[in-house]
Amino acid sequence: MWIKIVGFLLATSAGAFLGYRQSQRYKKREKLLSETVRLCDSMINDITYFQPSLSQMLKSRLNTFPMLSTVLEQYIALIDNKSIVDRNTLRTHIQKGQMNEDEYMLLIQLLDILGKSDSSTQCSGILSLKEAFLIKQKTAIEECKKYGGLYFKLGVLGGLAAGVIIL
Amino acid sequence: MIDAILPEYLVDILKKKLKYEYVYEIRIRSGLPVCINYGGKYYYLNPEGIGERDGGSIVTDRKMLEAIIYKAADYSMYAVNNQLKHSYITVKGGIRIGICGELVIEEDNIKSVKNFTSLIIRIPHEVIDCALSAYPFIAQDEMYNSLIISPPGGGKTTFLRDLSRLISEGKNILNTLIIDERYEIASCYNGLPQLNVGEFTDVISNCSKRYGFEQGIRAMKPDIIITDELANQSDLEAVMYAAGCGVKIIASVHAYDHLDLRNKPGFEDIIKKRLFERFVVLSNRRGPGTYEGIYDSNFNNMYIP
Repeated sequence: MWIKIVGFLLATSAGAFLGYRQSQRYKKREKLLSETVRLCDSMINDITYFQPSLSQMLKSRLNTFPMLSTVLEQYIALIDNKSIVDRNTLRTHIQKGQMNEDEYMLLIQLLDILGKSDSSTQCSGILSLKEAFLIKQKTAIEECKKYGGLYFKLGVLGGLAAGVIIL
Repeated sequence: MIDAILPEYLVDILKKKLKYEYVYEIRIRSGLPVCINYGGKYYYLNPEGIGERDGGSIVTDRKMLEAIIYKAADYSMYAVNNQLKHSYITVKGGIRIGICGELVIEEDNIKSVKNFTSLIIRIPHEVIDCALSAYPFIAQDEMYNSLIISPPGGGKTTFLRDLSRLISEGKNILNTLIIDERYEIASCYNGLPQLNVGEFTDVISNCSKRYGFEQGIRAMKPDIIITDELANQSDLEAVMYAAGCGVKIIASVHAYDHLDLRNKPGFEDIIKKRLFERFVVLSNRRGPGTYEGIYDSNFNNMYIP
């Protein structure tokens, strides 16, 4: 009997954990996109008023955008090593993380245009990509509301069902 | 430094196959062989060092040219766009890159440069004490408004830089302000002079002479202003303004010699007014920085080598 109870508890918590993990993916994706939008804003501000080097600018933002810090570190390493930064290099070196393919391509596009033009062209390029990220962010928020809680509940229910079967 | 902007194989040739201290210029043209000014003469660069035209010279393409420029700009073209609009970029170590390409123009203003076609990488060489022979005539006991005259490549900028250093090291403390319109004298990178211009020297970079003279005098209260390449009426007006404020001026100009100066628009008036009290004529007859004479305001030669 004790084995069955332990099995029930394990199945329920495993289901809840899987559901929680799935729902967290939606939350992380939403956070990642919201940080990307904020990064665009802060880069536009820096480029317009201070014009630091790209590396300096991104290094100073590492703590402000924890979800993006890995991507930024990978990108900074590329430019600090003075590699030729084109889309192929970026696709090879930059992690996709929680983003879907479309969002990842936008991120690659954003990193690809950085530092390659004068400030007004640079800012309008970032701004137009920010608009695209905003649309993705809205979708991510809706999906997070819709599926985030749902996956958790489904996980718990699935776990309970498995537990009941065990009992 | 050069290692950070050029491809590794070019750096290897320059540093391992040649004596880097004799490399003055590297000229890179899209689709054409790379040339270098090595010890004052031009050669083609090949994998073994330097050679003649048909000696298997290294040829570059536009992609490499762009990569060099991006690297030189620290991947931040927006940060150097103001320099780029004037066809150059200054990088760490005082290296200056002159750039040719297609100008992007919007409403009659230069916005940027695209489709780069060629570039010249100029490696600065500090020649310590190259201005020492002229120093007693210009600044040792008494300061004189001085004009340094030479054709391009005659060593004017190197002379001005060394003179600034000598003035800082002089027995009287004099505050010098360098107006470095094109980052040539102090070669500031991220606001720091990359070359020795002396301890009592302040530098304003990347500004017009008019702005530099007017604001520099108000803000920094200098005893001496040093600037490079007086070229047009606006520059001369800025110099006259500063002279009227009691600041001593040391400037340079492109001309063959002091007599040739009269043929330059605006300079005849300046000579008549005796604004400049010393004229140092340099040439590259025996290498850059060859003294041809130091003249007073009556054009009497004071310098006997």
